[in-house]
Amino acid sequence: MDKNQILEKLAAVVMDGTEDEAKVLAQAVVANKIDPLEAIEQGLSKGMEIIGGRFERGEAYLPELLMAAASFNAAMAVLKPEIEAQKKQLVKLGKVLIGTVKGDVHSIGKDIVASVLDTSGFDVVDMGVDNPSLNIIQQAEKIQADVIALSSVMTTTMPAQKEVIDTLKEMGIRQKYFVIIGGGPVNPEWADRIGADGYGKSAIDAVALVKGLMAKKK
Amino acid sequence: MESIKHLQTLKRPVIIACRVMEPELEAARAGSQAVEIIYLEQGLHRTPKKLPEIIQERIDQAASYATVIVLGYGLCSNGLVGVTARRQKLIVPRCHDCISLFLGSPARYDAVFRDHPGTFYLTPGWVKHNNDPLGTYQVEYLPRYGKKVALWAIRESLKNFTHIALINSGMPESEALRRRALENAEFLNMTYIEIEGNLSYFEKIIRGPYKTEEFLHLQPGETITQSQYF
Ligand code: B12
Repeated sequence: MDKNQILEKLAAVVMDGTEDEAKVLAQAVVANKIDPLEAIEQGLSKGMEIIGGRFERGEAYLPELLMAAASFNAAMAVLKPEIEAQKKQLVKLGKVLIGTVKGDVHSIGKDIVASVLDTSGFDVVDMGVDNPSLNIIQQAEKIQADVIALSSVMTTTMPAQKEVIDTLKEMGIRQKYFVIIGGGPVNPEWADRIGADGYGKSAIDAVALVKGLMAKKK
Repeated sequence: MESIKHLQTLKRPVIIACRVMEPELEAARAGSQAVEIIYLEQGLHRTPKKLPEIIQERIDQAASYATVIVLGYGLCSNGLVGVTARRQKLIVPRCHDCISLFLGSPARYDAVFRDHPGTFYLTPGWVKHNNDPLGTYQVEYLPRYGKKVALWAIRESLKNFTHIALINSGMPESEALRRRALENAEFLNMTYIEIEGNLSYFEKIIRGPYKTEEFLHLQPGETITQSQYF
């Protein structure tokens, strides 16, 4: 198999949700000395994006999305040590604190974003779901995050994204962090309205977004 | 046949609602034919991006005879964004999703929500169409993926959930619903709770008054946007 075939197959095994095959292919990536970050961007993440789109259109069911995520993570487990080795040589891309906001316990989208950011070379700390605004800020302070990434999948909990930003302002530490937001009902207008530093529609978007922001910082 | 056709085009209020509210809306209307109620499939809530077009189609169909059109929908992850009032006023509950309607007000939802965010709510409509976790597992996942994957998927999707809440609005099917809710709680190893609901919002959808604190009023030509809900 040449490189393009491997990348195409990686996307396909994610879509099919076949964990074992995902592992085998990830090993092929390592054996063929393909850049693991490229394998993630051009292979694994692409597969995730396609299955996500199918789910949005009602063409795939939730278990298929979950199995895709599991295959993604299985392949990642193989690629991770390679990336870690690279990371040591690379300048650190930045530290991202991610979590679902207070009141919201949807996790699938946030988990995908966290995985993709992690495998794209960022240090990611995942706080899980239902996080009170103050906990998020305290954690950001503690780990000295560069970026705070907030997921909200319900319009009911979108105001909690605003609350985090407002609280950062009140504490006088808004400029210490880039705050980015996402989740099904979130859109660029909302990001503008609450003064977020960016909005991402998908996990791949999130990577480009954070890279762009970190470039500004330097 | 003639008379049915006549009934359908009778000038009267038309309600377009999610089928998940059928039991409550039917109880609230108590047999009255003063309004027409059109139900759309509940499964649509999984694909909110498809909703606006489907709802608009129904509005357009009813536009020739409705005196007013009322939606039985929450914002539903922007599932109403883009929907436009045609010849008559369009009235829409100021709620983010159906749970506010079942509980009687968004304020109640907020309060209940704050107590236990990881709560899955059950009502007669959620159970009737197998949209409760047990129904999803048995009817949708099991035949399609087999036991191992089906069990894994339902547990994985509900891993952040701690409570199964029955919203009790005193509907006739409450006893059967309670048994089913308990079965769900046992199956998923969650805590069972019961929350009082009521039919007040459904009664208002059918009869008004459409107070502006509780309902958005869209004039002909106006379009629903997300910011109207914040
Ligand atoms: C799956 C699902 C569930 C699962 C959750 C499983 C889990 N562990 O997450 C289950 C069945 C358990 C569930 C439960 C409930 N749900 Co639900 N659920 C959904 C559903 C169908 C899909 C969400 C999803 O996972 N999408 C797939 C992922 C991949 O997409 P995503 O989250 O948008 O993430 C992508 C992007 O947005 C982006 N992204 C996400 N986060 C971030 C963050 C950043 C920083 C960036 C840059 C990008 C980014 O990248 C991701 C990958 O591409 C939606 C409907 C829909 N289609 O949106 C309803 C939905 C979100 N649920 C809803 C409701 C009402 C509920 C319940 C209250 C129902 C009940 N009867 O109790 C409960 C309680 C939820 C609670 N308290 O949090 C409503 C919310 C309405 C509202 N108020 O806005 C929705 C919209 C359905 C509806 N139309 O009514 N739900």
